[in-house]
This record gives sequence, structure tokens and C-alpha cells, in this order.
Amino acid sequence: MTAPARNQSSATPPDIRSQQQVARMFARRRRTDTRMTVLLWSAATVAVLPLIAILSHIVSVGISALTPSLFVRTPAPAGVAGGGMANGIAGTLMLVLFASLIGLPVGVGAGLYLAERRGTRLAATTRFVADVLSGLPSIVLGIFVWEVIVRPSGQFSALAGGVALGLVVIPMVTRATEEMVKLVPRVLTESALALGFPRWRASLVVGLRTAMPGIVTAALVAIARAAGETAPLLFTALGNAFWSVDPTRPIAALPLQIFSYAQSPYAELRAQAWAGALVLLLLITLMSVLARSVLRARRLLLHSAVPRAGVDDG
Amino acid sequence: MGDLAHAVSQPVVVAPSIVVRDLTAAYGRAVALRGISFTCAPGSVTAIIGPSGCGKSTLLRCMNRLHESTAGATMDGQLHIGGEDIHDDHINPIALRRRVGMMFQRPTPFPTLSIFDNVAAGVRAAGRPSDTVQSIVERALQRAGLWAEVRDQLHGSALALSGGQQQRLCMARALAVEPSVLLLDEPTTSLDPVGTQRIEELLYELRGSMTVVLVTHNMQQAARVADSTVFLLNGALVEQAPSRLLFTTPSDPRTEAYVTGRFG
Repeated sequence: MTAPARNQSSATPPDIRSQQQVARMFARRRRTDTRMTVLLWSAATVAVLPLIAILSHIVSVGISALTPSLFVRTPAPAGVAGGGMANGIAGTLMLVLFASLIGLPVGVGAGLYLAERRGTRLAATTRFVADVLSGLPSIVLGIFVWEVIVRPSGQFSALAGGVALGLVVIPMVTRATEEMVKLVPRVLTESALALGFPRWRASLVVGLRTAMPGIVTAALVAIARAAGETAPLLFTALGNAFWSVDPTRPIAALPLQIFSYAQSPYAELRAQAWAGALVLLLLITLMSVLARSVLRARRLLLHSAVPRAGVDDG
Repeated sequence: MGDLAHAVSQPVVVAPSIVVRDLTAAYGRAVALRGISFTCAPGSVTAIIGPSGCGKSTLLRCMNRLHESTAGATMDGQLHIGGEDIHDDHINPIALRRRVGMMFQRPTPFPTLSIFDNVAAGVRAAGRPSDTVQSIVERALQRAGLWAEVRDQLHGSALALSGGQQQRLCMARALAVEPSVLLLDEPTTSLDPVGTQRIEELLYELRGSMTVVLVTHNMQQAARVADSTVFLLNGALVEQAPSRLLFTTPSDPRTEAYVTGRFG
């Protein structure tokens, strides 16, 4: 690039450029702009494309088998037409409920502890254990629960499945809670302490409540992940071809049914596997929409009163 | 010291004296305060001035024992409030903080709570009967001069208020617990002149009914509202004098250099 011609006269500013040079400069900027835009769009497309492909495929293949009977009927014997996944849907809901009951209190509690007592040795150990736990292959969690619950009790059960899924939820919620509570400004907690809050109350009312939206998001991700887990259920919930909501009995689960139907020689069952995948997807979406709308409703309630004009003094 | 006009409209809280004796405080190896001694008269407003990092905030945080909540923080010496050494073993820091309120540099309303619940927070933590909370909140908001502005939106978010209103909300929140001492850590730094004036007026009204310690960077503010001013430099006390004297005829050349703006 040649340097712009300097003006001879000292009265005019030295770096006035000719119109031609300015036009060239803008053309170069526009080209760079276009190049970068294309680059970013393609990167975004590559990132989103698999998701869109998976979703569109599941919807297009699954929707044909998505009949009302899928939701209300239990599986028909092999070779018999019809049947549904009512037991799998109920089973998954139950397993997720157990997993949440076990995983969320433990995870949120541990996360709060990690955030409040950052430097202690117990905190460092807990953090390490949570990281190891979240890195464990989920089949290992299944075998572990089989060893400590299924074998002593002598039977596969929904409860054991819930515990296995709870172990999936705990580390995810623990670390997310820790990060979210750490983001709460220290001066907020100190304000509570300065008001005469006991430490525990400051943690709950200020730390935990302020971090709640982030924790709920993390909990949803963890629950969605647990709802889709298959491996931990193989040795614990086992699966059940019949309707059962007895927590002490083996129970059906959507991922297990999808797993077995997808391998079936019958086209109808394979179609039902796709429909099951679609139902699982819808369930998770529904849960996350529900939880978010609860949060939003609370926020709206709190923001319903807008500041009146004219009293703003600072 | 008591101001009778206020004693009628407010619960009778006897403002205590604050006596600081050889107070030393540190964060790990970093010493923040070195052997500070001074006294605040009951019901007076005492300003603490000094350049950034001289230990003003640490001094304030020792007075409600918030200092010890920082990891690695230590302190030594005596700090008597109303004749009691607040670092005595039998003193419960939680009970102490209900007697010694505090306001911070920036407004710190609890973001998830409504205006009402913000003011009620300390009262509820203290376990007051719930049927008295309504009237306590109303009176606290009135004392902080915020009632007229928020009475129609008590259950709206505290974050919907302006910065000045939020800071007065924090004032109401602190007053609701009925402390006898109020610590203010640069309470008007983040406010505009109007908001600042409102806070200063409030301090003026509180004089007599409680002992106020005000950390400020603003020397005009110290001169306006404080009966007595303490000048700190590098963690040591240089001079304490009635504000009128300290800002006009300081006895220490370092004080003079600071208040005339030659450093800091």
C-alpha cells in the first residue's frame, strides 16, 4: 500500500486523502466485512446443523407413529399390531422424579457449601469428587447401584433406577450451583450479615435466591440428561413391558424402550422407537418450558410495579 | 445528647459511645490498621477521612465484626460500644450486628426481594412477630424519607428504583432493625448531588438518636454532617478533632496537606 501523498501546504491537515483512496479503503473494509460475516455464519451453521438435522429427522420419522394410543397403551406382544409406550412415559417421569428428589437437594446443598466455604480442605475434596463423578461413564454408575441396591434387595426397581440417575444429576448440579452462587456479589451477602443475618440465612436468602435462575437452568440440563440416560438403567430399573408404577418393581423407561424397539425386526416397533424419541424430546422441552415460565412469572410478579415518572431522584 | 423531638416519634434507643483502643487489623500479613485509638461521643456523627487504602473501610468493618468474616483477617486491640468490648467471647456477632447497622458504598438491595421484603429482611431474621412487620417497615421507610415514593409499589422489585432511592431503601432496611449505631461506608459515592443531599439530610435527622460513623472521600460532606472527624493515613490515626477545627486549623501538617488537597 502506498503512503497517501502528503500535502505540500502546512495550512491543510497532512493526512487528507484523495477521494479515490478513501473509496479504495472502504471497498477493502467491505470485503473484509463480507469475508468475516460469511466465516461466522458458516461456523454457526456447522455448529447448529447437526442439531437441526437430528431434530428434523426425529420429527419427520417419529410423527407418523405418534398416535394417541402411543400415550395410553402399553406395548403389544411382538407381532401384534398397535400398542404404545404409556408405561415407558410414566416410568421415565417417575425415574426423573426420583432422580430430582435425590439429586437436586444433594447437588444444590453441596454446591452452596462449595461456594460458601471455598478454601477448606473438605471443599477441595468435594469439588474433586464431584468432578470425578461427572466424568464417570454412566454404565459404571449403573453397576455401582446394582451392587449396593439391586443385589442386596434382590430385585431390580424403579427406586434403584432413580438413585442411578440421581448420581448423574448430583455432580452437574453441584458444580453449576457453586459457580452461580460465586457470581453473587460479595457485598450482597455482607449486607445480609450486617443486618444480623446468621450465616446460613444469608446463604439461603441472598446467595441461593439470587443465583436461582442459573441453578434452575443447570438443574434442567441435568434432568434432561438424566431422562435420556440408558446405561445406568440397564442394571437398575431394567425395563418392564407392562404397566407399573410400583417403585419397588422393575419399571419401563423411554430410553430403554427406544433401545429395544430400535433393534426390533418389526417395522412398526422401529417406527414406535422414533416416536418414543420424539416423546422424550417433547417431555424434556415441556419440563424446561414449565420451569422457565415459573421463574418468569415470579420475576414478572416482582417487576409488576414500574417506577413512577417524576419521582426518580438519583 | 438526646434530641427530644426525635425521641418522641421514635423508639427510645440509647445511643452508645464508641471507644477504640489500640486497634490493629490485618488481612493475612497485610496490616490495614496500626494501633488506632479514638472515641465517638454518644449520638454524634463521626467522619473518617483519608486517602484510598488507608484502612477506613477496615475500621468500619471491625465495628460490626464483619472484618472477621473475611478469610485470613485478624484484629487486635479493644473496641467498646456502649461500654462493652464487642470482641469479647460472650458477644454474639449476629446480635451485635442488629445493634450496629451498616450501609455500603453502592446500593445493595436484595435483587430477588420486593421493596417491602427488603426492608423486612432484617426484622424477620431477628425473629420479630410477623404482625408487627408491616408497621415496622412503614416506619422505617418513613424515617428514610422513601415512604411517599414507594407506598404504591411496596411489592414491586427493589431494582426498579433509582440509585438514590435504592440507597435510601438500604437505609430503611438498616433502620428497620432499630440499631443504635449506624456505619456508613461512602454511602453517597455512587449517587448524584440530589441523592447525596437526601442522605445527608437523613444523617442530620438521625443525629442524637444514634451514633453514626461515616467513611467518606468527600471532605465537604465530612465538614457538613460530622461533629467530629478522624483522619487516617496508611493505617494510622493522624488526628481526631471537631470537624470545624480539623478543616480550618488542623494541628498536624499531614492533615493540612490532605484537607487542602495537596495529596490523596
